[in-house]
This record gives sequence, structure tokens and C-alpha cells, in this order.
Amino acid sequence: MIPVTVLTGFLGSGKTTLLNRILTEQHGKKIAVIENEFGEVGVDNQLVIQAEEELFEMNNGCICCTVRGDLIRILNRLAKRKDPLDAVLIETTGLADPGPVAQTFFTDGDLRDKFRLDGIVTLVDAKHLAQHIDNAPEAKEQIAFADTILLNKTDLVSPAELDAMESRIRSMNAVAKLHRTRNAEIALDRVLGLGGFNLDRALEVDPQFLEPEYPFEWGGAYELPAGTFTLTVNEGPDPSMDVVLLPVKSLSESDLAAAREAAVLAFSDWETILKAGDTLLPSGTLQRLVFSAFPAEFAVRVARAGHYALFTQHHPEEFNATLKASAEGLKPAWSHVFKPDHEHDDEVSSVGITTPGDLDGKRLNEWISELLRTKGNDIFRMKGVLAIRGSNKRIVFQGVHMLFDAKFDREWRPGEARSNTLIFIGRSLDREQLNAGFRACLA
Amino acid sequence: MPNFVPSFDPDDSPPAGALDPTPAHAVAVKQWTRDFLRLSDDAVVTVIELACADPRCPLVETVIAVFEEGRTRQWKFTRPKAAITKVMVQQALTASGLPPVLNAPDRRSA
Repeated sequence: MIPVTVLTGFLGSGKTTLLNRILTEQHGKKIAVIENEFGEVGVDNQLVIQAEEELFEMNNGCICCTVRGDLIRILNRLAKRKDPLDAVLIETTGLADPGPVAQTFFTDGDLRDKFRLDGIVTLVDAKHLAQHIDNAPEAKEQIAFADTILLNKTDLVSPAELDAMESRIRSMNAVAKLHRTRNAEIALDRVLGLGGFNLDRALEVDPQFLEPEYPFEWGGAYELPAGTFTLTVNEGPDPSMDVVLLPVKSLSESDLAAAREAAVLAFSDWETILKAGDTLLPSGTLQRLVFSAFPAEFAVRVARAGHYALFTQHHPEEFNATLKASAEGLKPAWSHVFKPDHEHDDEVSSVGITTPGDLDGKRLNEWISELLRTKGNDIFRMKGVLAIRGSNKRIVFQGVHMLFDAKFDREWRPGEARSNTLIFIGRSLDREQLNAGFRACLA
Repeated sequence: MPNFVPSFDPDDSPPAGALDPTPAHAVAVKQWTRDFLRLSDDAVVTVIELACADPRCPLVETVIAVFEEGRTRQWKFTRPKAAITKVMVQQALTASGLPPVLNAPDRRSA
């Protein structure tokens, strides 16, 4: 089967640059490029096909039943070539919703016998991302559908802006692989051969996405001598930030885990208010840093040399916050970004559900059918691995809007806990409702 | 909509995706369409079963779509794909104003 990669991204995001790079690189592969009518790709010895985006509605204009008629015809022609292809690249127009392209590969067995959708790569213009996200729903959809996102033109914005953008992208699509690029420079194997729609790789996601949620976004452990240090905080998204500072015996996994759990408890407790100039102590209690002017400076005093863990409500980079000894910034010996337990502003988000136990197949069928009937338009992608009562094999599935592909795959291994993991990426997803609906399917 | 959990015994049967739980029947429906319309090899026929979220749509619907250079045609059946018969396909294509092709060979049985 010939792998198909879909390239999406707004005008100016670097799609054409990436396409030219892929086509001119000496990789020895025969690649056909299906480009939109305004494309400018033209490379000797490679097959470049101009396509006119023809949306074909199976049903009353409903986007979840819309495919690309032109692609169906072109791919049918390509399948009959005597000189076989190694890969197909489909470039979409800047404003395209990737749904119909992806759905084209979920519609019919004939096409799927010859081509497999390998992945959706979305290029994002780092300089104009915020503007695109805020003004065009298609930008959010392109991010939501992606298996890989290239945050391109990173040389045009500051590292802090990049971090903020990456965080915003992550809040929408928590499972895509994200690479920062300049001039769309990226190794070919990062954009081709992704296996993004491969059922066997349905759960190759950032493990953090499936981690439990925490009341803090960041934790860092510093090795400090006895003395007084300065925590400097600049203007950020909130006028205050809750923190917990506590001593930690060592940087071993178990000691850090103990510190993390102590911080979770402290975050549920009453807070002490600290204003600029006040002293933050390693008390293990919740302290709220309140900012009235910037930069706000807080003294951090430790009586004994040792390791100290700082857990912060927001990522310090959101406030450009640094811990300093005299004028020099200190680097944490250990740090971790935690999955926050709050919703983000964007209406597009990812929901991950992971639960041990078996599911009742009948109830699962009913729930999924109803869910896709009522919310199929808003669910861009879903995938997962499930345990069904009465079956010793796992079910793996992938879906786009209301179309999905599910199959039994390998047997559960001896000693392997039977468990269920689902991932939804979509618009206006109700996390609690999805969780409740799914849990009701447990046998 | 096809069942989410593939409706076969996982230990006895080969895997079949929920995408197309009755692939053999889909092949037959496509062949009937090709025969009745006398389609060339360049035409692409797709058969898909939908359970659209749109309240104007029936609960289950099967769409036969024919993609040819320059035109795309479709026929809808308010029933699951597995319930589509040769007579239904013939009637639908005839009712759409196309000349019926009598005695179309059934290539499956050839």
C-alpha cells in the first residue's frame, strides 16, 4: 500500500518550502504530489498533479459526510501506474478543513486496498499563529487534525513567545508530535512514515497526555546552598500565582514523587499571601505570590544547603519567572511540566480517558453510535485501545468525525492489565460527559 | 452505522474493520452499479453506509457514488448497505433517468 501524507497549513506557513525540500532531497523515492491549484511546485522526475479541490457531499452538506471527489479520481489513476510510487503527498489549500481529505481514506475499501493515510502534517507560521487561530476556524482544525505539527519560522519570534504558542497548540492537540523549524527544515522521517492512522500505533502519544491532572503546571528541584535567593516574576496571564516550596531529600524518583504528592495536598490547603519584597520559605505550605508591579521580586530563604522543590500554579515561562543567586539565574537540577487540571480558552481541545477493566460491547456500541450521531461534527479525530468483556484480544480504533475503523488486534499478554484508553480531539468537547458516558460502558 | 465492536468471534474469524463489515456485499453492489451504468475502468464507484448527525437525514443511509472525469453522481438508499439488493440498484439507476441496461452480466457469477 502506498502511504499518503497530507500537508496542511495557512498561506505563508511554509508548505511549499517543505514540499520543494521533500521533492529535491536525494532520498531515492518516487513521490507523487497532489497540489492545490495555486501551488508552485515543479520538480523534474517527480510527478506533480494539479488538483481542484472538489468537495463531494454524501449528505446534505454535512461536513462529516464530505469527501474529496478529485482525490478519489486522481488516486484511482495513480493506482494504475505501471511505475509504482513510494509515496503520495497531498497539499491542501491554506484555508482547507483537513476533514474531507482524511475522510476520503475512510470511505471505501477499494481506495484503502491501495493507499493508506499515513499522517497529517500541519505547518504553523510562528509569527502569525495567534492571528490565524483567533480569526479562522480552519487554523484550529488544521492543528486539531495533525499527527505532526511544524512550528515554523521560529527565527521570527522570541523563545518566550514560542513557548506560549507551543502551550496553546498543546492545549488544542495534546497528542501530535511538535517540532520547531526554521525555513521548514526537518528530517524527512519526521514528516513521512508517521503511521498516524495506523491502528497498531493508535496510542503512540506523549505519555503526559494520559497522566493524571495536577493543580500545578510545573515543578523544579534546585540544589541550593544556605542563603537568600531572589525569585523574579514578570507580567504574565494572572495577577497572582500559587506556589509551594519544600525540601526534598534527593533527586531520586521516589523522593520527587513524595514531594509532588505533598505539593498536591498543600495546593488544596489555605494559602498565605505574599507581596513583592516578602520572603518565600520552604515551608511546604501554599503561598500565593500577588503582583502589583513588575518585575515583582520575592526573597527565597533556605537555612540549610540541600535540594528544594518548587511547584508553581503556572509554568514559570508564562511569567518569565526566574530564581536567582545574586544576578545569576539558577537552573533546576530536575524539572517537569505537569498536566494542569484547568480548561484552556480555545474551543478546540483534546480529551484522554484511561480506565482499567472490561467494557460491555453492546453498551459501547450504543454509546459510540449515539456519540458520533450527535457530536460527530465536533469530533475531529479519535483513537484508542479497548478491552471488551469476553474477548482475549484488544480492540484498536481510529476515526475521523463519524467515520471510523476498528479491529481486534493482538491478545492481551499474560500479566498485562486489561485497560482502556481513548483519545478525542475536537471542538467544544465535554470532558466530564465523555468520561461519564464511557465509564457507563464498563462491564 | 456499523457496530463499533466488530461483530465476529475474534478467535475464529479474520479481522474485519468496522469500516466495512460486509466487504463482499459492497463489491457486489459496486459491480451491479458498473454493469447497469456500463462504466469504464476509469470510473470509481464507492459504497458507503452513513449514520449522519444531521436531523434531516435518515438513521441509516447507504450512498453509492460514481466518480468519473468531469462528473460525479450519487444514489441514496435509506437502509443499511447489507440490505441493498441488485433490484434496488437497478431501480434506483433507472429512476434517475438513465437508460436501463437489460441483461447486465453478473460478473460475480461469471
